[in-house]
Amino acid sequence: MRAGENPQKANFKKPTKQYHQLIIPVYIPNNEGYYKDAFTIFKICLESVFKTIHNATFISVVNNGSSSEVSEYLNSLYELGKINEVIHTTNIGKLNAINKAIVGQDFPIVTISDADVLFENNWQTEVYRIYKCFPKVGAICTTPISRNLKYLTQNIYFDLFFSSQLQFDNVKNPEAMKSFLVSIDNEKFFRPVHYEKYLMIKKDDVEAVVGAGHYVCTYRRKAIENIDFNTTNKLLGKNIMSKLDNLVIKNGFWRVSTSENYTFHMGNSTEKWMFDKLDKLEVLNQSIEEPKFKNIKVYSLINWLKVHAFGTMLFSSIFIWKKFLVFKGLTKKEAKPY
Amino acid sequence: MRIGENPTRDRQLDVNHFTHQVIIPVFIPNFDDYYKDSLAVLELCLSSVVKTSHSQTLITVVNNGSCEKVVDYLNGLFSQKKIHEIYHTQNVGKLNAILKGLVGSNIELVTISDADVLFLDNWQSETVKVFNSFPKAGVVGIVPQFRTFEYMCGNLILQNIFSKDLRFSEVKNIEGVKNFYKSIGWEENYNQDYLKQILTLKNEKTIAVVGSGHFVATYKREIFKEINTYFDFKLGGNSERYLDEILLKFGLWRLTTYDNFAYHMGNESENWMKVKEENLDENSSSVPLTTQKPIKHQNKISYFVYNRLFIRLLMNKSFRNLFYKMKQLPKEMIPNYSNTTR
Repeated sequence: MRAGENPQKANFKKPTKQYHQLIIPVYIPNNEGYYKDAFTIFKICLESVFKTIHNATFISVVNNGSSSEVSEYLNSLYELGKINEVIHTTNIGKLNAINKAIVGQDFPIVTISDADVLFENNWQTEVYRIYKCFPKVGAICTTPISRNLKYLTQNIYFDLFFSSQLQFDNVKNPEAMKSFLVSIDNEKFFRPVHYEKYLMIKKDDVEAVVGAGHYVCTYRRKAIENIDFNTTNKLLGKNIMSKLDNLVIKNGFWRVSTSENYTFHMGNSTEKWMFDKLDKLEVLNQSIEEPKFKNIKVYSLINWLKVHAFGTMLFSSIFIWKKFLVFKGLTKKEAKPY
Repeated sequence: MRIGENPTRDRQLDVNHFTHQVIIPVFIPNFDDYYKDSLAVLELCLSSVVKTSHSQTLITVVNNGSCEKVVDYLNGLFSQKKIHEIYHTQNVGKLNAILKGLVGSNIELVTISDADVLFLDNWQSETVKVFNSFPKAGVVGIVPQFRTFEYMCGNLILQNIFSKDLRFSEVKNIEGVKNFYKSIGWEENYNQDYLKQILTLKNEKTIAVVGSGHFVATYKREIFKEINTYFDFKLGGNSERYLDEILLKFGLWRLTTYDNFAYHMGNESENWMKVKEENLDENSSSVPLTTQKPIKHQNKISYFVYNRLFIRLLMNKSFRNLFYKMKQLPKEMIPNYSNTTR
């Protein structure tokens, strides 16, 4: 029977001090074939997280039906207090897994990362700098890819069409970009000019690259609000993350990347540089003040015009698009293969 | 770098395997005072679920910041594959914990239960039977309680007000009802007529009690499709009322099985609980849910009539006595049936 009153009854939720949630879904069913090195890579990923995050970060790992070896490792990290949330589920698909971590929490900033990402120092500092400077930014990838400039970015072009804030500039770290492309085997789609120039937005001395990928991406919670409560029925695949990606532009926010590279994609096989990089990371244990966000007003009709009417016009005609590239600072010769 | 193609890419999920999900949020921060027996109670609760549920049941436990010993116990169950999902999170509040369990799966029936419920044999098949016989059922409880017809049942009662199928009947399992009130600490000075007569709804297939509590109840999955993704409350407040109100928006009914299919254990473990748990039958059969009609929002006018106007009317004492009479409550019980105490 019940004796006494439950001390939790009508106890208002105390504000948590953490404000940045990092969500890592992981699926490592065994140690064979494709997954031979996956567990080691995952460990490197988490170690790099522990070294680089500031002390108000809440780490959620969603174990999406991995082997018991992986579950036990996660349980031990949870008990040590190194990660704040572990969700063990049966193989429900990547987006569903991510959803379980997002729902029921209220962190204003959410990073969603694959389990094979190596984080560099100061990635959060840089992300916050961009958020502070550009109130319309909703998603920031920490690996800039020059060719993402047409992926769900229509609203940036509409908002900054004539602005001098939007200009081409030299790529800061072409090697990092190249190594990312090699790691996902996508190199062949890139021409030399993509490693030289990318399209940036600049204000004061803060800069960001137009377009964002999603293998590791930091979202403003507002930008991914109304994530579909219903489920997807794919495990993994080309379009599984597009729902999340689309949400950002639908809610009226920009997708950009940091101009320097702060995250490395490791893929599924270990290489020596990964261990070296991990060793070189400094443990800063920073405490960073929570960035203040401005609310932006979004009117669905205007948003539709930006994305569909204006965007389609700009993107669909090669002639207009090339003219635009030249207008934003590429030479004619560079614009041709871009 | 990445070598080879990820074998899971573009593979479809096997979504049809599970037909029933059980979500149990757990919060046991320590073993002092109130929580002294909590682990023993939790163990009884979980082993009774595991024993009595059929093989297509997905069991999700959401640990909401409990202490280490509880975490270890739950991890043990997970690695033995007795439970299918275990989440460890930190004090997000009961409703948020439940949301985490709900999102990302698509199983047609979801039982949400407190961590101090002892499930009895056949609770699942009886629950499904009620859903199958009453297509408008949105939630089905398994512990009949006093006067649950007063809580958010305006739609059910008004729609059946002139029907002979809605009437007072004898309480099927007096022990069960008594036990529940004992478990929440009531003295036995309540109105003894409540142990005799209870409002029920029947049709040719089955009979069910009108109304439902919410410490253990099974919901139609579909009602959660438009739910918020975060709630700013810990246990208490309006959190559970929120779930209940969604039901009304879709015009669905609250019902409870006629017999008693679970015990509420509270926070103290007692000997009889152990005995009950040991005698549970481990071979439970599953009754398939028949195809349900897709649910629709109820229009605003009927919502207002059912859940505001009619409820107001039902509060009125003389109307209520008339209602009791219409619904064949024995004459001698009518004058006193609205008073909780003797």
